[in-house]
Amino acid sequence: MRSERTPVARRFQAVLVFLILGALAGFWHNRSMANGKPDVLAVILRTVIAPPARILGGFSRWCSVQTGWLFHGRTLARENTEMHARIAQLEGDNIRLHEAEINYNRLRLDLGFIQSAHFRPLSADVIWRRPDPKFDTITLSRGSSDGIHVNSVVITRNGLVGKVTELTPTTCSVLMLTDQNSGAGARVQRADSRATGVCKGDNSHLLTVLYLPNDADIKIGDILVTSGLGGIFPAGIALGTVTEVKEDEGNLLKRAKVKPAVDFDKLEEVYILP
Amino acid sequence: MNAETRKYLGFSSALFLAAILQAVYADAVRIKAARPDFLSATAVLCSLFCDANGGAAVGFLAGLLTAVIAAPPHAGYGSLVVSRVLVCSVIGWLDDRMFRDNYLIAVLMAACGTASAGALFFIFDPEIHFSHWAKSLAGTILYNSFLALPIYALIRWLIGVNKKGRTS
Repeated sequence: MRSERTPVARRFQAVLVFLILGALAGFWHNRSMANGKPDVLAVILRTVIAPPARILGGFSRWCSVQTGWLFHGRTLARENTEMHARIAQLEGDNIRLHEAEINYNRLRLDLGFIQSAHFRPLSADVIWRRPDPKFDTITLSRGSSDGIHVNSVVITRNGLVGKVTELTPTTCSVLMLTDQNSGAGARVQRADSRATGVCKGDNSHLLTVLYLPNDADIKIGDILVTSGLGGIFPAGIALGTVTEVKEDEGNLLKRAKVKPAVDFDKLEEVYILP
Repeated sequence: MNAETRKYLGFSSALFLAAILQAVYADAVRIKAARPDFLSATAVLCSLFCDANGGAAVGFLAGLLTAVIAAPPHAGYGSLVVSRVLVCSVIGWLDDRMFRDNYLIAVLMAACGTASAGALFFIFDPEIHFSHWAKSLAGTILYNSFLALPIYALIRWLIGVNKKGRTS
């Protein structure tokens, strides 16, 4: 029996070695991440792949801009009409908000508050987006040499994108809010509600708000912002708009579906709060 | 350079090229839930030219590259590598058991390999939404089946296989 087994084990020696190496690579990566240290192998491979990916991505975007009118003429005309309507509405909102800002600043000074926390967002290009359908991640053109660190918050003008999970000196990997491993404290922005829950992704186009108390005042159309609970995401960043509210089994909690404020499919430039 | 060295250099080049394409275009060319998985398709097709041990090496590099460009921490980094090693080594193991240098076999293996890699990863690291995962995997299998032809031709060219199926 032994003489029959030995050749088989020898024949598949490299398979066993690579299986063990694969498991060790995963273990090593998770351990490095848990200790807040970069995984050297991942940093090297990502540093090799990032420059050509960036060049190819930039070239593709340039081509898309140059030839886009060929394919999107009708869509662009419709979008243009919608944009005009939207601009008119936003101009009205802008005037009202400007007035509110003046009042806000006056009252703030009156109360003697000092604005101590200034966010200085750092702009970054998206080098690659969702390279694998199982994970909602993006890689950006800023890294540890730009002062970015793990858990730095990534936003756009419209709202929260996610947080930095891995770094190389020149790139960083971001776990987007839509990934099933992602989560952020959420709060209803409406002044007479302020209900809080946890906003999670499920790799689809919608977010889910969990752990809302059964008596939480939340309804379709409510805008959700980050609650600031959890210590990673600052309070007040837009998450999205509630599209559906339903009660969990047992009627102890509610959950809500949320349309994200950010269009995760069209991310090209984002801002990082270092 | 001997044929074996050229072969593995060709595989490495193909896998790095696939990683760059995966990073830049996988999301951009998405149709509904269907996205291509250039890396899996390339690894599976490279394994057609290997034995089990060679397939394991190809699978290891493909899994590592996929994990590096895509996987967030604590979300299946090792599982990605191990699932690719297993699938590619099995395809390599079929070395003497089937006629291999054929475009139809390439399409078939790209589909089966992608399905097996996806299923293995699901077993190692189950996802919350089975239906979303299944739809996405079905789309990737279709995409990879179409991609199999150009990728297979590229691999043959990179490793110098002539029309008679012999390496030069």
